[in-house]
Amino acid sequence: MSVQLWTYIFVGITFSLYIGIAIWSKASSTSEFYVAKGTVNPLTNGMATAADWMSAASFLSMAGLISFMGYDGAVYLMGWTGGYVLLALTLAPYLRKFGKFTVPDFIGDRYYSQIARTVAVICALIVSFTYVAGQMRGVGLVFSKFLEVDIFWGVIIGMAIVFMYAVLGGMKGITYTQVAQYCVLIFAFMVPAFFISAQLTGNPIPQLGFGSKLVDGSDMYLLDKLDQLHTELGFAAYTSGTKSMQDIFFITVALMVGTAGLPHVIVRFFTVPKVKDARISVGYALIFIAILYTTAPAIAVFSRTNLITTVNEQPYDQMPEWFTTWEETALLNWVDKNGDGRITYAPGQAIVGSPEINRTNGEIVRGEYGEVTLLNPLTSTENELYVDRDIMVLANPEIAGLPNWVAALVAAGGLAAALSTAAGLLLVISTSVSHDLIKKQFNPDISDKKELLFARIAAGFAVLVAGYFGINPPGFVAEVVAIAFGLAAASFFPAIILGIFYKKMNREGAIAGMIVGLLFTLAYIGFFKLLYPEYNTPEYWWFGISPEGVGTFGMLINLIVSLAVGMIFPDPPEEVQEMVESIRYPRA
Amino acid sequence: MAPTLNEIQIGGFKLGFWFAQQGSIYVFVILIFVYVYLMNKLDIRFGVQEVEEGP
Repeated sequence: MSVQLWTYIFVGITFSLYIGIAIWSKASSTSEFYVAKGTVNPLTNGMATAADWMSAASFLSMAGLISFMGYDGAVYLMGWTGGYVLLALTLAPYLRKFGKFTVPDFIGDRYYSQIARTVAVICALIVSFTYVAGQMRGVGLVFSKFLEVDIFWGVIIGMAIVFMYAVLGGMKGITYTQVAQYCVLIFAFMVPAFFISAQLTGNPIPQLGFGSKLVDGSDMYLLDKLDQLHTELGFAAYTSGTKSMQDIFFITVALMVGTAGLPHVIVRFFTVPKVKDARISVGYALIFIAILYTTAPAIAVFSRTNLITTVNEQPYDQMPEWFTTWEETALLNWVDKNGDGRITYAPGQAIVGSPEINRTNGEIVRGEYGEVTLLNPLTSTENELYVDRDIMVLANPEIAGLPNWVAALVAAGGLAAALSTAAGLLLVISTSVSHDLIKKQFNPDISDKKELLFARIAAGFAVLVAGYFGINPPGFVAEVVAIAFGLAAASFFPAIILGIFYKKMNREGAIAGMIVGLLFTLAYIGFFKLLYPEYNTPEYWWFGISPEGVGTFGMLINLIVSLAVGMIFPDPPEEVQEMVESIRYPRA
Repeated sequence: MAPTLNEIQIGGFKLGFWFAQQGSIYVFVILIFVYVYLMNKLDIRFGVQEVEEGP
């Protein structure tokens, strides 16, 4: 059977499962819609958190990113898992004790101010929309490659599915779908990893396999072999880093703090019954996440080695079928600069910009060897190969020559990862609007039924906006997501931490801190990523900090501004200080 | 620190590389569970643990 047929089967089965759960778990009150009534088992919540958190970026992009970054890829691995330590130690149990529905809820009550609540809502909306755009692009990518559906229709189908269970079931529906999606995505991620690990090294456990010897008779360790290939081609050795120490530090901290400050992750810990459950639930979540996160660097090494050995200095006309199918999606392309008919892989970009296929009357114009030709100007490097980092996980099974059903499984897994995260984000968007804006500010007397209706309308509207971003995607999935982290780190995290651990923090300080942190981070990222990308090099960065790491800087500015402004204004009222006192003790 | 640790090699792994891409994650998991265990014990010691709702 073809990959396409297998994909239809897997996607069909998993989507019917999600729809089934949606129908079974219809929410009937706002408490059910917002936090599943706070009755979710901590282990179930851990699994749901893992799926909520692991997005299209973790599933599709991360291993690819690492495989092109080598050692430096550790910033993503450490940043995105270390955040859970912060979450367990400083946020989850206290926010659970506080016991409301949303993060802006906490900010609004703790800082006794509707302005603080509104600022928090705006932060939540910006973070969630940036993040959801990345997910929808992931959905579009999978559909267009595997089902040969137009990206437009792929995104529409994905939107319809999310709409079903997020709008009907709210948090209750999302929780149980996420459990199912976790199972799908982890299975889909591990199966090819087992196969490829066994194929290359004889050890099926990928975490051990990438530290084992190759079975090709060379008696070399896989990592040594890869270092050697890298050095021969002129790259830096795979296991040594190229980023500066302070940039590594700032990016890692920004991702950690950002993870801990992401509203869709925090609200998951409002759904368990007790403070004790919230603590242990973070631990379960990290175990479920670590399964994928310790496998990803292994996949990065396998796919990098396979890619280099398959394509480098090989004649184009002997390339396997997958090479030519990816060429037509403009995600993997070859330009024969030296006219020898062989693919030369070397450092640097092969072409200027991302590939634009040369077509006349809709037909692809082929070159001398039958390759897809491009309109892009060539660069002066020797490199003749353009590889989109996002395809590494998707192409991996084909590159390793695995059976068709494995490739199809990966497609279903990528969809599960993207949809589960999108649903969590859409819920944050809808609760921010219906609860924090409508209920708490415009119309406090609204009935529960009406509030629920508004929550559903807001979720539906958010699905449409997310879909728009999916069809017109801004940049790389992982890069877009990194921006959301910087914003979460610079806005929410300091306000929540100070709110819990500094009783005398007042509203004026917190509001000023959040606004300055958010604006600074937005301006820095906007300058280097959107307005002047040509200046996006270390010599122009402040203190050598890249836009990915600037969230840490924004967080520090937020803290300083909060504390400084807080000193000028009077202490918070007595009852607020008592509330802060009480959230530190688990007993009611 | 990684370059120094990379001098040591265990199996096919350079130690600095292993800690950056594998070891750190295992350490994080252990940290959380140790923290949960200690906090639960502390809560009981100071009598602020949540009341079990039992039969």
